[in-house]
Amino acid sequence: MSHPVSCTIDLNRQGKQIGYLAFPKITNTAGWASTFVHIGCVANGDGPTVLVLAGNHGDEYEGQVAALRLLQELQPEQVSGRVIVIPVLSPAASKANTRNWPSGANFNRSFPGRHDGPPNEQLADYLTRALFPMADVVIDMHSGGRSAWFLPCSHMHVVDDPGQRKAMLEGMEAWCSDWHYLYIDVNGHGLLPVEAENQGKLVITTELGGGGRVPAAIHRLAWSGLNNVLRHVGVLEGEADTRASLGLPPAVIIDGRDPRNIVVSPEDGMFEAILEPGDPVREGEPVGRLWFIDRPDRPAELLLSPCTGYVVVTKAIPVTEQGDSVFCVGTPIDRAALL
Amino acid sequence: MSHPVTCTIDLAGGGGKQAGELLLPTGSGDGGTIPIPIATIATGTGPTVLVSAGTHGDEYEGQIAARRLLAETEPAQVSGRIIVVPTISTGASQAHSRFWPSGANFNRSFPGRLDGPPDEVLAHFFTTVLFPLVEMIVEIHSGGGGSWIVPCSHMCAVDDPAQRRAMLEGMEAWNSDVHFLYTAGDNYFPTIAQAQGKTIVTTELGGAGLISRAVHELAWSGLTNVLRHFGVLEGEVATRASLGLPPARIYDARGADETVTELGSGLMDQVRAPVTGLAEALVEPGETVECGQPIARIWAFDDPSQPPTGVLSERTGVLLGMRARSFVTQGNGMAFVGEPIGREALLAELAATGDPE
Repeated sequence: MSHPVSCTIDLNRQGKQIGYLAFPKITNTAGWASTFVHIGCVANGDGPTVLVLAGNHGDEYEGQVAALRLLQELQPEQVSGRVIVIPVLSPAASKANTRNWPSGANFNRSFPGRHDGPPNEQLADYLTRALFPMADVVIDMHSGGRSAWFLPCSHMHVVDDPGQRKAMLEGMEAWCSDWHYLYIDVNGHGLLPVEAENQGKLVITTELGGGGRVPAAIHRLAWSGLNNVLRHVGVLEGEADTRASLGLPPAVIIDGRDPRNIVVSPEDGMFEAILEPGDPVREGEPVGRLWFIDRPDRPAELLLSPCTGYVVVTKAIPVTEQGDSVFCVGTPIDRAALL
Repeated sequence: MSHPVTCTIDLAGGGGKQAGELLLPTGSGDGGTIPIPIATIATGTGPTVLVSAGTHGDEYEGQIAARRLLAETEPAQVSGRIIVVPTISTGASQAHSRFWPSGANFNRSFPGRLDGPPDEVLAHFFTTVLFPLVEMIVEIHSGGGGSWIVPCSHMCAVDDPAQRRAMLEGMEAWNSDVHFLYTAGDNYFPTIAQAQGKTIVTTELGGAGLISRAVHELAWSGLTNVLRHFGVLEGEVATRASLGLPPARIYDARGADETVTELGSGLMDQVRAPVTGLAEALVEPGETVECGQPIARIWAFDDPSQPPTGVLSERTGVLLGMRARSFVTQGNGMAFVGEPIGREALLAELAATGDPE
């Protein structure tokens, strides 16, 4: 049986091509309709295959803009190997400024996917079974989206295989951000990076700020980090920078693996951040406070840090429901200890 | 005649600290009401000042500062009366949206009508009941979820010289680094308050769906200093000079010929998106721009093989605000630029045009 996702370009051809993936669109206004997800391929000779992905969540635009720019500017003579770019994985969500697809599907909870599932799972299945197997390196760019402000950083899952862990750590560091973060998946399963990790890939992910607006400095970090990672893995010409070569102090790696450090709101209210991502924090110190929408006479409730370390994420949208994540904190960890 | 909007506290006479609600009929025929929190802090004699926020639901900076004002201000600190409506558009605030769930833009609902939809009935209450009770108004806005504006207080350049001076001095009392002049339409909240002769101070405290600590601090310090400047809150008034800061810069972003567009984006309509796609900011609000300079570029969304399109400034000056959302549709308001103007020039304009006084 043919796969419901088809690709208009030949990913095994040399040179530069831009086309799209097409898969069934379920709509009330047109039968036999397709959703297009644009894909580009720049291939030249021998070298690794790198898959560059963005727009997994629609309202995380930092990587989408960097990937669209990469498709414009990257030429085959700069490449040794192959760079496959999908700049906007979730186009309808991107247009709507939402995290999830209009169907409600979270594409980053759709893996490994099924060819006979709903459209998000069909696309996930194509990545899992067609694209990941041809890639050595998978880059998936995220940010806090409009809902959260995240320390601008590259981050990683701590995988068990020592060789893969070391390669992922070095790939993460090649973004040259001031911070890096070790994350866990607290909301179940189905992540794109986890599926790629399970296939043994070198996976590099980011959280490039967020909060509903992309400042020019973040666009620069998205672009410089992406290019430097491509140089680091040997697919793009040029010498890779390090923080040392740029005259910068070593990055701080924050360990976010303790689920107690992801703090959720005790009730509905209006969240005010007192501290910001990157601020040092002591255990028991207020990171934010909750005001009460219907009760302006009620004093605000302080929300306290469960650990001593740094603030990593704060909620960007003040209106808050009970159980919403309002901030995350973490503790620094030495790279040697991680290895 | 009693107004269809009722208030559960005594706005004019009650002393001390009171908290209650405005009850706005839903108009749905079920007899239901929308409760809107309102509070007063009053002692002795002095001016009456209205502090309002959340005209646009997704502009939370002032909503939080107004709540803090209620929590931290005791009647003994007040000379006169402060009336606080911390979130006017409660449904929009809950929904993280600029507009009411009905689609109404409360800052286009004025002066309001008794026989209109609920937003216009509430506007009518402000116009005919609340505004007449007060001498001064602090109405706190920001760029909300949709845009980022250099954090500042701002004003309309009203025609009455004494009112213009009082509003300029009130605006300056926020002590922000920047101020700007804007044009408001006939159906805006400030326009109606100004027409009643009120001294109104308005703000644009950042926005873009993210409130930094610095902006929370500016909301709080500015609000409390303006209340001190008005003489309703105890304490020494700070000036930029007393804080050791250089003078604020004032920019003129008034519409040509006093025109104002009716697009939802308001201020951002000066520069519009030439194409649909993903916008990348090249210049940050607060930076200078030349006429014709690209302030952003728009990456093609439906055909990534196409090169990006520049979004060009039509003025030389300082970029004051920019659309926050990356996905833009052709014609969306993108940004606005202001030109420097001196405070004396602003005051002298009326003399130059031969207005009386």
